[in-house]
Amino acid sequence: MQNKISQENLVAALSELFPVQEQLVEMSDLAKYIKDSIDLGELVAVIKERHGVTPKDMQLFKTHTRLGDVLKIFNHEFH
Amino acid sequence: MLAIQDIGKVKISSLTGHEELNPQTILHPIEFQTWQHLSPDRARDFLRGRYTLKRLLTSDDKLHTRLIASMPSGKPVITDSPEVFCSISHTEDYAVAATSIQTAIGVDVEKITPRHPALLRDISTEEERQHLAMRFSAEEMPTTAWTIKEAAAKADGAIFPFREYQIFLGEKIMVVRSLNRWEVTLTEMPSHICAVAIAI
Repeated sequence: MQNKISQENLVAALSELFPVQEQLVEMSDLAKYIKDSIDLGELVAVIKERHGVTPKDMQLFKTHTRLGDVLKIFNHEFH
Repeated sequence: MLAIQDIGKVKISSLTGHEELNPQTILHPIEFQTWQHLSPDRARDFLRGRYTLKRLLTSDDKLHTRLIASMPSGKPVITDSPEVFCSISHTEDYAVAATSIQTAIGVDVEKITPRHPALLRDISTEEERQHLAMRFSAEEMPTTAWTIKEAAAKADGAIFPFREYQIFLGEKIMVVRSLNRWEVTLTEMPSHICAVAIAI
């Protein structure tokens, strides 16, 4: 069964990787931090290594940049 | 400033600086509709990328008549010349485009910045890291490995994960995935690295 990450897990990773100066909430737009594909690759790598979670459909990140949606994509809950 | 390299069957253009570009003279009406709905950063990248690619196709002032469509994977297609392979990449400071009339091509440009070590571990094998370390500094390795593999993946019409794409460093940089191979050329730009991969 696929592991899942919490919003806290995701925020912790984002705050470590990017210059986050705000309190991140479900509607926060992460596009200002995840600007290039390598930024996303870095986030995916950290989440995978720490929590054993790998998103199924990477394409979804192109069109969904709100924190709540990004969390669902990681947890295979985005339909 | 736009620079164009014509290497026979492969052409590469790179755009630097932050000059104002007029979307109405560059974007096809369909592209313009897409551009209008993008966030400011993505709109800037989209416009610069389209301009950089279109300038490889023509030097006239009819850029807005050429439509570059996007496949579901994000791969660009020149709608009036679909037989021409093309690729676009951009950062905040650069836009790079490449075309080839003979073989699939992919381009990626990235800014070299410190990266979490998990990134390099995720996209490369221990053996690849040992070979990369002989040629690149510790700071350069994650971004360089990523850029090489992303260029090959884009030529392959794929997106990451990249573990299946193996880098081989010899006289030339090669990437291999299953029976497919790409030759990669790296260009160093101020604080950036650019990779162009062509299928062989």
